Amino acid sequence: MMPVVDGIEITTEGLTKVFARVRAVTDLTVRVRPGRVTGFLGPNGAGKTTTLRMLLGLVAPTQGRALVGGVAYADLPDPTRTVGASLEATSFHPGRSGRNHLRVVALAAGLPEGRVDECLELTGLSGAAHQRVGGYSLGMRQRLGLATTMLGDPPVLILDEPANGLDPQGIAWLRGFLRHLAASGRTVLVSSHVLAEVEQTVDDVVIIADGRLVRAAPLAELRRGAATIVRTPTPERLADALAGAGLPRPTPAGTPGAWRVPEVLPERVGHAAYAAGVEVHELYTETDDLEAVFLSLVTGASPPAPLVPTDPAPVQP
Amino acid sequence: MNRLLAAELLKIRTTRVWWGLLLGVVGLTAIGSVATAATAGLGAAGGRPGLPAATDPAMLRSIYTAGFSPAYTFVLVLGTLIITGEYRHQTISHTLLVTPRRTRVVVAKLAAAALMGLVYAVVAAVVAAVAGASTLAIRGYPVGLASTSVAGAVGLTVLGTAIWGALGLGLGILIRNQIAAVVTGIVGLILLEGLLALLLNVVHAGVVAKFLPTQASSAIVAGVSTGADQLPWWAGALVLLAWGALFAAAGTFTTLRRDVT
Repeated sequence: MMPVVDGIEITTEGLTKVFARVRAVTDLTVRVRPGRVTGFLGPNGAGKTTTLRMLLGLVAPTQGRALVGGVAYADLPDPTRTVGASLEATSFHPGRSGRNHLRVVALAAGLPEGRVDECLELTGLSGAAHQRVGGYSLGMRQRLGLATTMLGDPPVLILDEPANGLDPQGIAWLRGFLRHLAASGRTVLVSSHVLAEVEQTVDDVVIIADGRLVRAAPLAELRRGAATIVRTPTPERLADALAGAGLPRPTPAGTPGAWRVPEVLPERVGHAAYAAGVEVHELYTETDDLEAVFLSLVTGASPPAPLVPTDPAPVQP
Repeated sequence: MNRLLAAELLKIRTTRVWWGLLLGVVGLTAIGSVATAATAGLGAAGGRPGLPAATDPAMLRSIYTAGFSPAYTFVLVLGTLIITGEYRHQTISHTLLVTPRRTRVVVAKLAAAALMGLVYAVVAAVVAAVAGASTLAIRGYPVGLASTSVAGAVGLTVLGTAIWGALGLGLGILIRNQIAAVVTGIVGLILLEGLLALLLNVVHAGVVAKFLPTQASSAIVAGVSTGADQLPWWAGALVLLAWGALFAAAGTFTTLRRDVT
């Protein structure tokens, strides 16, 4: 699909927030690009919501800046038509119907009332439009939040844990919805504490832990894995070859004859083996456990290799 | 600004609390004005004066402005709920996302609360007119609705109630917790303040007492004299307005500047 909106970047520069005595966010510098879905990831309490709230002018940064298209949210001439945001710990009046909630926002933002029904339709809420929000399920509230963000048809979407409370069908629907928005050139920032939830949706990831940036990269780069797996009948010779090439020592990788080399690029391992004439039966990148990579990043520990035995496996002749 | 006010009024209209409170105003007003009209002129015995006669202009004002104190009490509560409800139901984020300039939100809410005060006061005036006039008619007294002194007093209750709405809003911003704000509004501002005013009058400090919100609003209507030293009606209105502005300004500079988490 051709981009239909002018891309707007979200940036933070040295963003820091100290609450009373708690450092919620520390020196966060991030760039979120248009036309892509960016996952804003981190464990609960990592500072994701605080960062988003600073971005939206609801929380004042202690230091640094958070900008949308180079402008602070509060200075945007028409915030609702620029940024659509749905935040956690934001709710609706239980006695007001979903449609009336949207009417209030549309009226305050100076948007045509027709957008209300369009957005209800878009998020599959038309049937419950006149029902009081008090009777909505969590999934329906998420949809109403999403409908609210879409009212101004904004080029930037900021969604805090939008998959919470959605059933598998809802998550699949959300994925398609966000992919479609990014494909039209919009900037989509989605926070989550579970990588698996957004793994199939996001292009880029920004990972924070304890309020600090841990990693900002395209997901593909993260997926590239942390190690190369080699299957060889002569592990001692492989170890020598790797040592000669300045690569780390292999450790048993679980399956008989398979060895794990903590080197990201398989071509370097393959070349070392080839140059030393080591027989290799298999050579591949360890990619399957993205969640483990994520966990290792947010806890600072090295990723646990799958099924690592404590003793070295007996070398097959 | 107009669309912000319209949005605030839509918020009020799309939940039920405003007409629940209005029902309270209607009920209390009807009781108040019937009771006042029914007892006018009674209690005089053996040369001892009783209540002023039903034809006394001050008595007529009392009957037809019986809705003032229910209206201002309930619109005080409504004004408080308009802002504290946003924090209680966590809708304040939506409001501030649409309108990041927080003072504009406060001004729109102040205006909405004042307008609701207007609505409550007009409804109360109509109820008092119907209930009071029919009671007087049943007792065989002239209805006295046409008197300019009555019309003037009723008009001023409308002004006073509108200011009370804004006062409630100011109180709500200052005390963000819904229950605390409502309790402070009713117990503190209305009950305790009446007691305080009484005490001040006893110790001959009525000069101070007349600047309290409730005393100032009694001054606006100036019905049957309470015997206390009262301000002229316009000064009462100004004093009440100053209280509202004080609360709203204090609230804007404290609560509303805070982070919304």
